[in-house]
Amino acid sequence: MTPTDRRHLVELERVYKFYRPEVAVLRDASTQVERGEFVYVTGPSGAGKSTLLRMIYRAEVPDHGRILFCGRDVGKLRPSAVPFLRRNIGVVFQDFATKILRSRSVFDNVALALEVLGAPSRVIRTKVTAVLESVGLGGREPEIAGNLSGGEQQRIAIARALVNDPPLLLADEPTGNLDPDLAMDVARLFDEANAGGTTVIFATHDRTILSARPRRTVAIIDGATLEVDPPSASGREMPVALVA
Amino acid sequence: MTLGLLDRYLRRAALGLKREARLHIGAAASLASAFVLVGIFGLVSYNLGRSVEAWGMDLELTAYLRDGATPEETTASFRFARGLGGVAQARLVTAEEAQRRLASPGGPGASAFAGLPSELFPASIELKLQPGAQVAERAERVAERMKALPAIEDVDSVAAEARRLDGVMRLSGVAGLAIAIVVLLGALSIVSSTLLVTQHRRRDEIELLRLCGATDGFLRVPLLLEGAVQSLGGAILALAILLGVYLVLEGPAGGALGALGIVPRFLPAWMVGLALVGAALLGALGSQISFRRSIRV
Repeated sequence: MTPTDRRHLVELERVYKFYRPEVAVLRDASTQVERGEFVYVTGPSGAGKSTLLRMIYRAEVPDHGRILFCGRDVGKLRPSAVPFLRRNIGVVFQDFATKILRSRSVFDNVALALEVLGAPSRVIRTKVTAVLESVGLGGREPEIAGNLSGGEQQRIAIARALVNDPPLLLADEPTGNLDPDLAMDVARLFDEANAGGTTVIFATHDRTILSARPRRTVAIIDGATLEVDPPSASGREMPVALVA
Repeated sequence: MTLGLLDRYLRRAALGLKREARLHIGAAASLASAFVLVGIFGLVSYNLGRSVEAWGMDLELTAYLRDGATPEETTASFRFARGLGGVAQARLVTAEEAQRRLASPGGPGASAFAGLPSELFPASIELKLQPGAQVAERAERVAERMKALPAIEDVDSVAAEARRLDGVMRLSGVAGLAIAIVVLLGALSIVSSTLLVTQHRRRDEIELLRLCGATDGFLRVPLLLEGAVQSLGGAILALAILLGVYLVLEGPAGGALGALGIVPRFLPAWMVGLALVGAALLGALGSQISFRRSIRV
């Protein structure tokens, strides 16, 4: 592995984010994510998990501190450079219903990410077919996305996030609206993406997911990031291993 | 912009037009009604302008030569008149020719002037002014310079007539500009509002595209093209309506206008081309305005 390869893919350096004065959603949050790593970000609802992810793909900027992606401060990117950051990041949301185009076909929904890159039609066809196969939607390309079940719609969103082979995949409570069995199926797709070399940052407060697939876990508590051990299968409290 | 990129933008614009076909057709129809108003005024202004120009071409000044002006003075005055700016044509009318004109059969004084000696009729220089704007000013300027010549006794002033022509041209120009501005602002508002609605309907798609790394250009250019096509469609429809109305009215109205010396004509090709290009640019501008107003992710 070269020194460049060993660099952190994502780094948070003493990040603060305020939505109201004196009330910090994130306070002095710091962590690093290595290339190829799978990291859970957990914490209660409203803890700031989504905010953290939104700052990584520059939907928001920190009020203090830095967020580095491949060593570049994303908060300092010019607006014209933001699209190029986002082409390196796949994002999957909890609310898949509003994040897919329900009146469009499964194929069209996934192809969007490649059209943006200007990929030729033949490449788009090949890659979309392959990624849909990998998420269990092989042969469903012509179907209207809105007619598929919730779990299948979330698979479309995952396929779209993965189709251009981004180095980083951000998942914001992607299983939050799914029943437990479907949630485990969808979570497995992120494992598979990670096994293929994609770095995954998976925000969830679902203890079942955390305990069934133990990985490095960063908890956001009172706005600060804490490295914690994953919960045990019994679902007991997460012991704090390291205060960041 | 590379050809590949242009092709992609065109395809996205075509897709957008197809998906929101009803909305775009409705907007194009609204635009057409606004453009028809501009077109009617344009047609009237164009024909009025042509008529005024034709009247302007008939404007003549007559500079009368002093009795006893030597042939050298007469020739010098004539040459001076020919060289004056704003004069299209100068003609020397001798005393004999002046008498011939008046005394010619059917002339204004055929019997009364027939037997008089030609010395009684003053020789003159007739000057035709060049057509165009500010006829009155030019006529006055030419008259003053001619009057200053030693061989010239008097100049028939056509300034009052010319001033009327200038007034008509100026009024039609100002009114045309005012109407055009009002109607074009309305058209701009229609285009931008329609595309704003389109963008709101596509809000989810735009949000997703931004999330996937779409640049402003990727989102903006197809919308500009859609706006341009929508407005162009409206302009073509308006021109078709205008041409239809013109062909229907040309016969009955042509006779009445002919009596006033106006031969009606439809807009020339260069004006039609300019209108189409202008409409497309207007559509693109409206689209740009709506894009700036639309929600950003």
